[in-house]
Amino acid sequence: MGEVLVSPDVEAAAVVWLRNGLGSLADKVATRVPTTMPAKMVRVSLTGGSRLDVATDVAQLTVECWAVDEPAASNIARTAQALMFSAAGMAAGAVFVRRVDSVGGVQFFPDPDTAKPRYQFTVRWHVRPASI
Amino acid sequence: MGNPKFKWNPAGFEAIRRSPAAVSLLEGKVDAAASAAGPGYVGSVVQGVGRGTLGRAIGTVFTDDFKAIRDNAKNNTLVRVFDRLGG
Repeated sequence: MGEVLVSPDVEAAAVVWLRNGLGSLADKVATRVPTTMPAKMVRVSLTGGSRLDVATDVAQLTVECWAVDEPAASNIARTAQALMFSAAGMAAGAVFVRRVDSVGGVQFFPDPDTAKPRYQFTVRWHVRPASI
Repeated sequence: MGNPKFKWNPAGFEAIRRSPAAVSLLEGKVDAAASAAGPGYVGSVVQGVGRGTLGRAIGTVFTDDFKAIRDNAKNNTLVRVFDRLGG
């Protein structure tokens, strides 16, 4: 059997990265929206990706941001996007982010399940898989 | 030994952008993405208008009914099938 290379948990890394960076700008940063959504919520989802080569895993992350009004939600999303870009060349917890690509910029994307406005964007983190 | 010279062939690029093979390749990717997205998602390929990159074939996947619109808004379905377009 050849070397087994496991993709890192980029969702967890991105959640911690954004939680630390956003601070009080978001009430909650998580991969799941609780039954009662907080006023300022950020959800991180792994929405795709691929193994580029033996040393690079490309993880596509979509970040949704809700707030009580459009300007607040937009502000959270634009700040979160800047934070996600700033991870390039940095260690997000145990995950080293080698490069960041933009897939889709910040856009207003109304959520049918809540009255709160939602802005979202999608990026790709290039990370290193781990050998086990 | 002489220096090799490189010469662009713009007409060749134009031919590739409009070739049936390129359109067929795009149709395959678009159909795969639409199928993966599920019912109510449709793929389309049209030839661009104009010269240069404006004239390239363009593939899109979009929602075609209310159920798919709601599904996409709720689950970000189109974002999740983006990889299938080779984007």
